[in-house]
Amino acid sequence: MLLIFGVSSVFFFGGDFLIAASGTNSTDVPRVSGSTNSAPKVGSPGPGKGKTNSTSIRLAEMDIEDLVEVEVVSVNSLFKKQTRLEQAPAAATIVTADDIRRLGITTLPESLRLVPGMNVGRIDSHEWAISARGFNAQFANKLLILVDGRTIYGPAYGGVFWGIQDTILEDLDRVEVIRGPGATLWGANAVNGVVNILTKSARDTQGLLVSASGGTEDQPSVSVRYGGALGGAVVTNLYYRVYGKYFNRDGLVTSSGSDAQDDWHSIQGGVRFDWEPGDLDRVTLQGNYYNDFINENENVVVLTPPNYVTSTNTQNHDYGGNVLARWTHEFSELSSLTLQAYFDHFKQEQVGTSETRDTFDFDAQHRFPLGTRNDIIWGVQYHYSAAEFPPNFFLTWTPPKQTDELFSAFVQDEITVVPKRFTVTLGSKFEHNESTGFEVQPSVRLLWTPADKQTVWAAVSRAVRTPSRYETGARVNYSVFEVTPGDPSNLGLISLFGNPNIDAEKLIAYELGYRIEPTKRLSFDIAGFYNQYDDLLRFVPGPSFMQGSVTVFPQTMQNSGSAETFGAELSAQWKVTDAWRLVASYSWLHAEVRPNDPAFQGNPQHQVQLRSYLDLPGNLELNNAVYYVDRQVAASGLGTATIPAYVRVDAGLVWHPSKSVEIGIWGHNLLDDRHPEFPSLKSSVQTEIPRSIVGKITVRF
Amino acid sequence: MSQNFIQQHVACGRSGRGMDCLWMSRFLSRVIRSGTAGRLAALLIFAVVLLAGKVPALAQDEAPMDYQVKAAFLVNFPKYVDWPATALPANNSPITVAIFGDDNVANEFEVMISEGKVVDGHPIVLKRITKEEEIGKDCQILFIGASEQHRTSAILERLKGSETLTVGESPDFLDKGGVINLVRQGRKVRLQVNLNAAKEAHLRISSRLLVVADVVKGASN
Repeated sequence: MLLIFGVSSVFFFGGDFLIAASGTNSTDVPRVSGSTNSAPKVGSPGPGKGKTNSTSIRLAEMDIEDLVEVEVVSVNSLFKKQTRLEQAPAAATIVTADDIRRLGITTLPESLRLVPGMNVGRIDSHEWAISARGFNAQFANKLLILVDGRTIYGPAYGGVFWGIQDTILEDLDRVEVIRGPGATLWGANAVNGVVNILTKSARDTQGLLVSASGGTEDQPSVSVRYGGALGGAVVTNLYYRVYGKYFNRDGLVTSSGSDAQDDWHSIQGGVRFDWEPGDLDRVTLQGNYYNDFINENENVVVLTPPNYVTSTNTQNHDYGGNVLARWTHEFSELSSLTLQAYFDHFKQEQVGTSETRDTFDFDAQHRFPLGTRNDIIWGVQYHYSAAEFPPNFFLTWTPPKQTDELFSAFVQDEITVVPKRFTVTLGSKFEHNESTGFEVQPSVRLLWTPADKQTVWAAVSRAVRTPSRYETGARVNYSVFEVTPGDPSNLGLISLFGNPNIDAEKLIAYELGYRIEPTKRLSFDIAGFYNQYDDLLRFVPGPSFMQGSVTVFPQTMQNSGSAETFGAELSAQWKVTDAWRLVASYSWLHAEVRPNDPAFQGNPQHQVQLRSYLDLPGNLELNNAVYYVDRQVAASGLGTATIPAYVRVDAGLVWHPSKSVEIGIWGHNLLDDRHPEFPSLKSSVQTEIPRSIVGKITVRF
Repeated sequence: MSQNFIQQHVACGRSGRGMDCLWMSRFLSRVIRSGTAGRLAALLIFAVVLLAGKVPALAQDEAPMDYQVKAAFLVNFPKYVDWPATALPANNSPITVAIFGDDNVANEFEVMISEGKVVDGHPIVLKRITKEEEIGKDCQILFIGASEQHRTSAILERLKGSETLTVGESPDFLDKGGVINLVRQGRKVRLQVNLNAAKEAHLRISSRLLVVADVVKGASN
């Protein structure tokens, strides 16, 4: 039923745009399994020679026509250079566009579920709690997330408003993830990890793409993208794409199985230009605009009896846009200069008030070799952010308008001690922000390659999390109660106060990792860590005082917590046959927090996942995933809530009837009627994730 | 269910199914939430996994580093270049590839020729260059890495009149008089050729190579 329904709407759009697109060339070939992809695959198994260095042998045997088409490893944005994950001195993972396509993932945050050790808890239709290595929360504040180099970490609360972060997932290139501190290159808040979500170059998204999907939770959604090239006497190698996307997600369900009424629909559009004027220059200009209408369950505290709280279901309207320009010039393979600037504006509504923010960021970085053994990267950044928060009784901000400026610089040297065997990477970020002043975030990373296909790495790093505006200047009237039950004239008010005098949270992290590829088909990666957190922020009760006729019981933000976490993430990849690939991971986390405050929760002890990608005859693919997340206690609107352990099973069948058409149907959370993944800080309604089915058809011309 | 205008317009109105399709998705939603259908579907899908036997080949991405591709080009060039008889006097004279200023390329090249590479009877051998003075006219191919690009002009001047295929990886390599430049373009390593320089070195470059080069400077014979 879903497929028919999908096909009919696609045909309509397809027909409509075919006329507009006739006569254009399309180079965006979908990655159909088998041999339809034109780019030569150097790693594919063939007539074997040596067990090791097979890539080298294969390359050496290629003809020149194929060599010029081989795609090399791209620059890893998180390391700011071309880095092979197997040789990275950090716990790094890449979620590929292929993973996302195969598993029928329809939102950006869900793609992070594939990262070993990442705890992804869906709170409701449009909110997710996401963190690695503990401290997960609705506004998880120790994971820095960027999209195409633009930070989406929210300075007001920490965390990310996932409800306003989207793109056409078919145009996503990859999601790069580092677990553990990334502060030396990325600065404050890259404490437990850093994520960069990257979209493809316009050069790689040529032609028309129409994708339509529908299902039980993902209501009818349509994405349309057209990419072309502008050529002429003056400008050559200028590629562009324009896209538009409409989606509608049905509300999830409550714990009793009824509709949670948190529908979310969104319209988004954008454009990206990629210009390659010469061999050595790349210019990117991109812009996005979005409008989101989100129904949200919210509890707002009031002074009126009998409940002193109103539970509302409000439609919030969020909107925003951003423009980014980046220029990279390569002096040589080892030396380059990148300049980037972006502007971002958004308005986000919640709990009867809103945040309107303008951000401007300028970033420059330069890489060069010094002698034959030093690979140096250094850079400077200026970040300006201004926000306005209209007050209501529940939430007020001091001051209601505030401007923050951040200046930072970093330098890092990768020193080759023994070529091909041993490197040491030293570096530090130096930054100045307005709330905590000057911060230094150094790290030392060692990488030892004892043998081919084996690496050992170790790192010691310092990272800080700077307080959010909420922690320095907000007042939340958290709860109202009758001091003498039944007497509404004598009210007590528990209020949470931000504190402008607090310091940054600090982490010293010790990490150790090992990777081995015992055979061409099997690889293992293990990363262990010991983290020491200090000056953790939490609300501390203070002496009560009177405000009018109300007794206020204040709790004030203080640097009065500390924690130690230990953990390990183990992952394995096994290419069982040329057509069947298994990916598995297990992560273990142990947290000792002092004191046992709601702010320091969100530390599930065990997480397991197993994914299977199987290519079947007849251009079919069968893709399955199973996730296990251990029981966890997490901060909720009422203090803490316990989320029971859950197993989630996803399965999907994808069919490529032709090179340009892909039809898929997926079942998510198949073995379970519904389960909660994470509590909300804003509502007492515990939203749960139901079983769902989604079908999608994608057509490329 | 949302009463959103666009949803109905896009999903139902335009597909010509009217309220019919809204009803359908409601119905399906109910069936799936009831549990039975989902369990059956899951069982079915797992059954398919177990029964799946014969499977087509799958291409796996294992993207190489750019220095690996460059080394492969160096291994490959002898197939597409003719040296004059003076450079390769005997039928089995070795083709010496000298690599200067890029250990990664040299190490990779060494691996690639470790099991022996022979082109028309000429074995390919590697000569690692660590100092500029070691560069002589006795090599058939010379690769100058980016880290030594400031010496490119001097080296090319010294090699004038020799029958050496000079290969570089820096922006102005052709302008300085080099023969082939390896340039990264996006995620690919592409070729640029200077035919005038090739002519001066008495080298004939195959049209198969010229066809795939992005830039060909100078006139062919």
